[in-house]
Amino acid sequence: MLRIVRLILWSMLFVAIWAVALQLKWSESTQWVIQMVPLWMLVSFGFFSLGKIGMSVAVFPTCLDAALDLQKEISQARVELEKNGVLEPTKTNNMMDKKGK
Amino acid sequence: SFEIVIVDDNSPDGTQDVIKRLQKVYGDDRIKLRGRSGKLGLGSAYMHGLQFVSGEYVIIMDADMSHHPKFIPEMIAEQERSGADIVTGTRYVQPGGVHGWDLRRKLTSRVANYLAATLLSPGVSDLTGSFRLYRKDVLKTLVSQAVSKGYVFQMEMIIRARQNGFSIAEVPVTFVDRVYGASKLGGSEIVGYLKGLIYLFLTT
Repeated sequence: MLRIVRLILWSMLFVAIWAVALQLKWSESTQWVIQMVPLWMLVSFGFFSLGKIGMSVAVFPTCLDAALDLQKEISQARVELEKNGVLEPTKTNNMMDKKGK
Repeated sequence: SFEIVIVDDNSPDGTQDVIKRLQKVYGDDRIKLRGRSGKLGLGSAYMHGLQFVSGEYVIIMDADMSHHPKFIPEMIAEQERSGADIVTGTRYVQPGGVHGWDLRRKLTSRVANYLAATLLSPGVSDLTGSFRLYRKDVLKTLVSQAVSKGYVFQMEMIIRARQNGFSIAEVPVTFVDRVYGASKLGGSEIVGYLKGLIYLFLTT
């Protein structure tokens, strides 16, 4: 069964139960609460989602060490690859080569 | 034993020259350059590269140093330990992580992940990661079923894998972004992602 189909079926079930609950005789305040349940669920879900996303950004795993190690490894690799001819040696910036004074 | 299949779509940055020199040093039985003349999509690149894979398992990874080869033995070990059809690298579980993303990028990624997790409940922590180990025939099956592009393609691979009943294991990996090249995440990528997400939600 497709997800969307399952979602629609569950929604229909929820709406049916809610509609039945609305028909029954309750006190004023309970009646109001039942009316508000879908809205309350939506708002709660919204807040819950924001909270979850905010939390996950706050604890986002970073890896500075990996970045630093990688730079070292790239330098090492350059040296090796220049030795066996895969990469051209990088030109050195030699002050002596500058023309004029 | 291993081999490296490089699918380069005629990059104008001298990639092919370097690869040919690597082949001279390490052998062209180990390093296979199988490029195409034009810049075609990721899915077709996988399909193309798969033709030349002689092993039983395939590891797909980016070539811009954002994916580190040191995780390859870990993925292999996890596959041997669990017997999983797919081992996917996750950037969002410690000791994995990301370096080089600003707050905005992190937020975008988390919102994207949350949406995908809520709509698709895929059971993996990093849906759009592209550092993965696949059994070769599993990869072939999934690529032939996938229709999306870009980030969504990686998501779709996982979703289809679940549909097919394949088993998936995870290994934390570190991701160092933008060492070479800038990763693009503009408006059109975001729209494409949302479209792809909705498509997968409605059709799986």
